[in-house]
Amino acid sequence: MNHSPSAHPFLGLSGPWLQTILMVLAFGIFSWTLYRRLGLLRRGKRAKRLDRPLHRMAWTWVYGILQIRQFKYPVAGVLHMIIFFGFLLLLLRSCLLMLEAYFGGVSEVGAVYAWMKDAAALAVFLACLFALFRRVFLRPSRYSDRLLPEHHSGEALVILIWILAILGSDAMFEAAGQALLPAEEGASPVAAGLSGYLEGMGQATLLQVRLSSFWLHNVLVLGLLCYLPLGKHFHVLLALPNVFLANQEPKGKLREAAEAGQAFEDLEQVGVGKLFDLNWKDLLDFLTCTHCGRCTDQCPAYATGAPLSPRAFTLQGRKLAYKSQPIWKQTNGNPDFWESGFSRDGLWSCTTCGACEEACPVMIEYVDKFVDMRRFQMEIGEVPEELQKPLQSLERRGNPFGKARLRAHPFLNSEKVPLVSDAVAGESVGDLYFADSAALYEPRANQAAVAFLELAHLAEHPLGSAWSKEVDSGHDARRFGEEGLFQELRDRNQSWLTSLQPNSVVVTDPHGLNALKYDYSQDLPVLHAVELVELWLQEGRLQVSNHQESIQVSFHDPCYLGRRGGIFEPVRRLISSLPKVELVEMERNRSWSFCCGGGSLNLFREELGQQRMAQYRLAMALETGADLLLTACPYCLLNLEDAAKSSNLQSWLGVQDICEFVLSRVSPENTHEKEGVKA
Amino acid sequence: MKVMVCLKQVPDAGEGEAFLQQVGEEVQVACDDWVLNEWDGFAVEAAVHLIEEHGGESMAVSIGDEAVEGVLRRALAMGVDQAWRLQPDSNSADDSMRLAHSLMGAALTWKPDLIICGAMASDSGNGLVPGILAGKLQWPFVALATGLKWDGKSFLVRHEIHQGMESLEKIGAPLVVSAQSGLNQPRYVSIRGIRRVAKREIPMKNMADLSLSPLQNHVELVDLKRRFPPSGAHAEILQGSPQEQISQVIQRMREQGVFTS
Repeated sequence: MNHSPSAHPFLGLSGPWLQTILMVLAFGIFSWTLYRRLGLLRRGKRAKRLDRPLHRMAWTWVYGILQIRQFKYPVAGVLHMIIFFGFLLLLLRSCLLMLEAYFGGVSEVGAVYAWMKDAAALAVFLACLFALFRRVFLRPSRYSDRLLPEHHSGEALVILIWILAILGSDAMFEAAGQALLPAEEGASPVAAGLSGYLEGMGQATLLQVRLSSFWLHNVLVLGLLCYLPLGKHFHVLLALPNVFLANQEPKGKLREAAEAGQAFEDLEQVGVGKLFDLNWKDLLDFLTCTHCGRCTDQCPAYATGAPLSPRAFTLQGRKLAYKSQPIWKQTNGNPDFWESGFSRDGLWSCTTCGACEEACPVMIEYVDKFVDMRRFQMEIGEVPEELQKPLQSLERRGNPFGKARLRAHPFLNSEKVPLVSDAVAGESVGDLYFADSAALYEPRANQAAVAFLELAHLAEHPLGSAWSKEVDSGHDARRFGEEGLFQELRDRNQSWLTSLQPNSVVVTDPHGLNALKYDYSQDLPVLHAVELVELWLQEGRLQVSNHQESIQVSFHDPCYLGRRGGIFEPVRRLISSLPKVELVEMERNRSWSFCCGGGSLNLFREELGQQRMAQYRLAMALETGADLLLTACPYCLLNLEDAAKSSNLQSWLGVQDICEFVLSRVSPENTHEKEGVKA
Repeated sequence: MKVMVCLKQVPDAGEGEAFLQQVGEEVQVACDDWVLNEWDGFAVEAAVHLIEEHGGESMAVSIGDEAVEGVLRRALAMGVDQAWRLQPDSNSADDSMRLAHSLMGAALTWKPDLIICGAMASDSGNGLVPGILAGKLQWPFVALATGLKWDGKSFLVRHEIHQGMESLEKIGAPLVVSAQSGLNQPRYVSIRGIRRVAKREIPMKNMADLSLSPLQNHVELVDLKRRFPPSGAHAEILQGSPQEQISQVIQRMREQGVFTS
């Protein structure tokens, strides 16, 4: 073509030469930056993230390409989708324009693509304009972070304007081409429209407009490439790899303290103390973060004013990583993680609820990192004072409450739930109820457990118990980083579990559920009480009375039942099968549930926010107008009920364990029948 | 610098669990849960911290049979460099003179610059040993320390004196200090830490090893009787549900004229 930049020199250089110089420069800078940035990963510890490649590809398609997590935040999500898919189309265009400098006319590939490209460009253009408007005027709260001194919106604005400039320069290049040679076929509709405004310009001026827009476009595109690894838009390059390499273990499973084949006790060092004690994938997480703040927006610790923000943690980690390996300077040593500005109080404020990980669109992991950092702190003895006592109680008495075994609530010793600790070895003891510490040593949690056992009795489902051998599951000892203590508790429980050989284990504490499923090594079916109660109702083994008052209830999903255990729907089915009971969901339900403050050791830790998480959660429940807030975890029950008591809201909103509630709705006939049978 | 800490193993009285039993005329300790005396924990932390900061060596000693190795191991796990178990002097039981005598032997043998003891023992309620030990060694003694530092030449010890006042002393080595609560926050000892020292050899030292001759002219301490104190006449335990108990408390307070309106 006549008016191709390939045929006209610009700034005294021929098209191919100018383009070559630009490309060499840009790719040179880009490769070096990338080399330095990705070189950081080599300094991290090992991690295996290439297992099950097909599964990972499917996963990447769903979470990386289709980005289904984006829609949890609809406005930002839709904008992102438009810009993402628009850009994919425009990427081809930009590549063609690079080639245009060598081969005149190569960028004109027909009307269909021109239309598609124009539609994409227009959509991206409008999306960017709206995104700009949103950043500048609407300012969603999640874009600021009280734990980050610097505001990151500036960078977002630069990029949005940059994209607009790329689109604009391309349009101008085409429009000038149209004005020079109006009869061309397959012209872009936008260009055709814009060219009208250029009428009346001389041919020489038009050519200059065309050439300068062309080169501006190419400089902007190549410049953007160089800019990507320097800021939050590194995610454009890293999001897909990070999603592909994401943790594929079950959600409740923790990273092991020692690699396979290594004994925990023989480790030279435990956990993460310095930056490069993290593994390479942890570091990739830091590099990939988009600053979107969904994690922090969901974090219960942040919401209640505690000094923890997952986003701030990641960005502080990234800053520290970049500082220890600058792009143009010598590489520095392995800094202590605290140098990043992340605080010990922040570290201990995490309840491991996992809300942050559920929200992150690029699958950044937090809990494993925090636990690994806590493991190191445990090892050097830097443990919050208030945790020391319950930890020592776990060590000496096998429960965090420090109660002697003779203080255990003896409910399990009744006729209804026979003690099976003396079962003959090799003979199955049937289904076993694993009480865990709360039900055994905490009176209120004990009541809830009794309600469940009562239901089991009514449904004629025999359950045994080995409470006299039980020690705490160790779930939270592990999550607070006391791996050695966890292993000791686990081994003690596993030794009797192995000798009793139950068919399945039933728990009322979701932490126990998670521990038995993912922390322990024996292969046993583990069920939560709600799953059984739902089954009993379905099978008619429990009769529910129709002659009860109508009631509205809301349900608080315990983190380790729902988000971690994936048990959401059995609870809903259970509640909806009860006559005259209406379930009104809180806005944050199921995987978006808001942690009550945490179980076990969390009970002893003073929350550092202005408000307790449970109070915050209770306010959400009050908004539903429900009469009763149900839950299915002894610790949720304790935290939420305490919050109701301390805010004097008991008369507005009762708090009950779901088993207690079901028991209160069971028809008297059901009870009588059973009594009759017994008599 | 060489720092020696003296440890005692005591029954775990945590959570108010009963560990004392009246057997006839006697009160016996019925406990299978033995722990490091709370004040001795402060002493160990202070010793480990001083050595971490200024270099040197620390040692923990305890008097008793193999059972006391538990607390010595805890001290090792906290970071003390070595531990000695001292063989008890015949029928010494809780006789502070005899205990101090053994500890003196250890001190004269190992030659520390500083000895730290807990201010008292939580089971017997005694706090005599550090003072007697200092007297026997003819070393200076600072009781109830709430702060302890080394400035390169001498120790700076903050300690409690009467009427809530504190005094700051500057004393050179050697020195005996008794650790009061508030001196520090003992570090947490992970199970892994304890397991890692589980197989460490803890040498036992008898009188001969410590070049000790038996105590001369010692007046034996005779334990006459132990009993629970009789309940006083003015104590009453309120009965009923929490609500009822609260009403009763309010009723009593009203009767006593606590409320003016």
